[in-house]
Amino acid sequence: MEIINQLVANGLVIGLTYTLFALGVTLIFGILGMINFAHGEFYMLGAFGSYILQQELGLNYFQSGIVTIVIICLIAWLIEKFTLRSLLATDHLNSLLATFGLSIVLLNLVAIAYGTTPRQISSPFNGVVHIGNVFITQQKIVVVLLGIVVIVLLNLFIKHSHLGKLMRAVSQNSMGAMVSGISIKRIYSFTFIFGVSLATLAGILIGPTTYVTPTMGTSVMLKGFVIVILGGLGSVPGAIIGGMLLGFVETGASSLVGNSWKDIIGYVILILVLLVRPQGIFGFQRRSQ
Amino acid sequence: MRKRILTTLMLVLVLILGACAQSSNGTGKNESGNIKIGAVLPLTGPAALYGQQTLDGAKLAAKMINDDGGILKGRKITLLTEDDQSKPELGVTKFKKLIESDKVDAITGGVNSSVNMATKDVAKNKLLNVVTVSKAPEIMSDRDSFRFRLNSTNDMDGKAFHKFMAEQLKPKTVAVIAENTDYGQAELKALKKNWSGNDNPKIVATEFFDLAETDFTNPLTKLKSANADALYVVGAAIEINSAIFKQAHQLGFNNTMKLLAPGNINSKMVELAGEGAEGIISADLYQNTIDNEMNKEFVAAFEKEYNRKPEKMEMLGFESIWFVAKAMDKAGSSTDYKAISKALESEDWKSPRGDLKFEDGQALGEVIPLTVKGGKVIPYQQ
Repeated sequence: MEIINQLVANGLVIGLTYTLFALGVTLIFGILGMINFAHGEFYMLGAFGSYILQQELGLNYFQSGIVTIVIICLIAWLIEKFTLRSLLATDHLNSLLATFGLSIVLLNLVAIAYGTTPRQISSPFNGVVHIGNVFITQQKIVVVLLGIVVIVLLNLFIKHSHLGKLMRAVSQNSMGAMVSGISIKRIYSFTFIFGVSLATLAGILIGPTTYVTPTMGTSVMLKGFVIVILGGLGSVPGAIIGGMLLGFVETGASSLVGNSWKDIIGYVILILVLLVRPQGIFGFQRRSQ
Repeated sequence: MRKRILTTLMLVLVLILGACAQSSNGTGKNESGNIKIGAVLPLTGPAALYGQQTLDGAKLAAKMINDDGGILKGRKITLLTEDDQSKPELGVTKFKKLIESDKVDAITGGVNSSVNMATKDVAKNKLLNVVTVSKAPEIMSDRDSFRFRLNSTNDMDGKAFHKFMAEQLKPKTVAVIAENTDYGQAELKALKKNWSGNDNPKIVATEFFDLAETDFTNPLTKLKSANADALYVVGAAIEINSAIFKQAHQLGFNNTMKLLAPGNINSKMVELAGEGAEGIISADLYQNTIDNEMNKEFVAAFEKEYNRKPEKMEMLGFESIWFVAKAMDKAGSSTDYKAISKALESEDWKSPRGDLKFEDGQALGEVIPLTVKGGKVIPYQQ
């Protein structure tokens, strides 16, 4: 079967795309104990931001990407400071609803301001590379390479850096962390902004492979959920394995059974995993607090 | 408290009196003064772009007719627009408002079939109702003689284009990628039916996609391995069609004939798909380079007014007002709907898209084959 190489390449690209997105969701859940429903909208803002900066200020792909991440981080910081921080102390449902509302507000603000016509981010990586009988766009190669770099750096950061250790401490036992003098609020704030910046980066990287619309985050968010639940809520290796697994399962289902079956098969696998391991592949039971 | 009740009662009384006065005073429809034509279109919401494009065409027609001295011995056209937001229930409210309180002489518009399905009975047997864009065949069933439709149905488009593909383009094998919706399923079913004979092209592979998808490399990889002569794309969304053609190009579909289901080709899609759009063959009711006098005049007037070239929606909007006015002129009345309908049905009309006839209210527009060359949509020539 000569298409097998192409399918492996497709699966790798889709898997890393999903992983890049899911990492932020899982990080924020792992530390803040909250699902960020607006994660898809930050992904959309990443793509939209770089498009707007390219159009309005004439920045190139790299400049617009960096400026977008800075701006979105600022917005995330404000949101965290003025809404989530006080809500996190109350029932978890409140912060969950707040991010859900945030997602609706962000999506519609962009739709009102810029309309729903699809747009395109220009990127210098617009060529196509042929490797044997495999066709892959340069942008997708960038997604794969940068995706791997982000995964490696994130793991090193969490395992070895001081901040990473603090994050793990808060994740494992927030009360204990607080007692030993860690400022939980700061860690919450940092994690939220860090998670959002990962979503933004994903939007900037993946944006040029498709079109930019205000609703582009909604369907990605759904996949993000599936991956994070599959891999285990709050687990970084879980998001990586879950993302890659879903990417390859979808590719396999699409080519072996039919494209319209790929979501069904993906969700059936999710249900099967949850039946055997309700906490997800890499999930752990949180210590009751 | 008492005072408040009294005031409320007074207010209600005044309102009722006012309403009575208006209805007894209201002139209703008459054969003098401006002719009021209502246009109910989605001006906000998901189909806002199409609604606005249609409205631009309608406004231009009213302006051109008025600048030319109006119809029926100098009566001018007044266009009353209402926004249905693509919602059937809102469409009904707006229809009622235009008919009962604004007392329009004719009503036009409709982009979403669901809206026209709901509004058709509101106007039934009351006044001229020209359905502008909506495509569902059922809109014209159970018809009074005052209901007309300008756009063609998917069945009409499909039949003509399937025949064109089989007889002119002659691919031996075709791979189909279609949206997993009523439209996508129906188009594929019609294609299979119209190509049932032995000498027709063979459909060797079919893939469906979901409207939420953005990456089509997997289904396209599979279709590519079928090695068909042609790839037939059935999709209505601009961003999806352009993504499919772009990604097919990136996957090396270069020697495959690129076909797109009729009615879906437009300049925005071609612009987004870039190189991937080059050589697409499709068909549509209208294209702004059609060579006839009326089209030249229409395109020039449109460009002057809006600084862009008109496409199908603008042309249909233009026709909706133009035909209504011209038929009233012909019938010598703005309210004798029997005469106006008869005038519409009995004439060979000139339109920017060419000569046009109505049969049982349906405009018998034929799709013309189109192709993409140098990033532009142009009529297809062998």
